[in-house]
Amino acid sequence: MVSLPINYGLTSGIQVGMKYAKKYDYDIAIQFDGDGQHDARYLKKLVDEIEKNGIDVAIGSRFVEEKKPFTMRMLGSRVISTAIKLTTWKKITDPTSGMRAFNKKAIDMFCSNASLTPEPDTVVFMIKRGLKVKEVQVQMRDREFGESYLNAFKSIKYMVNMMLSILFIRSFTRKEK
Amino acid sequence: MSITLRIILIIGSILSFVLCVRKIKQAKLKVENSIIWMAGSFILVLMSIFDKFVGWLATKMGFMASVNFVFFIMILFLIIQVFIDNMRMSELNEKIKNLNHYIALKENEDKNKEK
Repeated sequence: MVSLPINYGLTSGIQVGMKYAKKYDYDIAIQFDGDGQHDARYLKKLVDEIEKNGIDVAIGSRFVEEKKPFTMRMLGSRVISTAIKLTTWKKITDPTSGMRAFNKKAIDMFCSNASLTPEPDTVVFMIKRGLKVKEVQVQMRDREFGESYLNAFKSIKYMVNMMLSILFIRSFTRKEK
Repeated sequence: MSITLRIILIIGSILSFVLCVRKIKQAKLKVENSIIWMAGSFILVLMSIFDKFVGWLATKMGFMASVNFVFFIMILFLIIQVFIDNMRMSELNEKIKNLNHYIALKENEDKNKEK
């Protein structure tokens, strides 16, 4: 386990994980929520996509086969999905999912670009860069402990942040030659 | 510009200038960071002394009163300052984060070596 001397937020935590993966030459890095929402049994499915189907980034989605419920939280998810669709022409059903698997290419990207966060706009960036992103149906539980870092004010800030980033910054990403 | 405003500007500039110099002596401010403030206060003093020229320039540029021109310059100056500060803050943030990562990875590596 790597522990940071200063708490510097979720993004920093993910980035240090990516640096660790690069340092020890890992093939796949997995982003996984520790609050009981995610089920480790589905990780195999994500890893399979990368190993067997040549996918670069596999996302565990709740809504590939199932329908999205109409709640406030899912409204935000829908808006982000629409923005992603507009900018990349790809359908990402569960953009805010925190269960993702990245291959070497994606790990390298995380290490070389400090502005990449474990958020939907990074998915847009990666699609734009030509990485193959695929969603895999998984089940998620309600969190068992801990609280979401989003409250009313923060979720508005989050949405504005994501929309600006997806529509005006990430959408102008050029494909790497 | 009214004589009162000119006096206020001159006094304000001198005060900020003195403050800058004192903070540098106390080593609470770096010289390169204070230069911009000293230059700013110097320009304000110049503007309050040569108010005829400022008035002429203001009318040429379409300002209703030379006071507006003075305020405009000050606002512009402050906006640029805030923007530069923001940029520096992001830069520092990035550096601290990388240091943080470096320390964490290093500690992890050392711990594994001990085993």
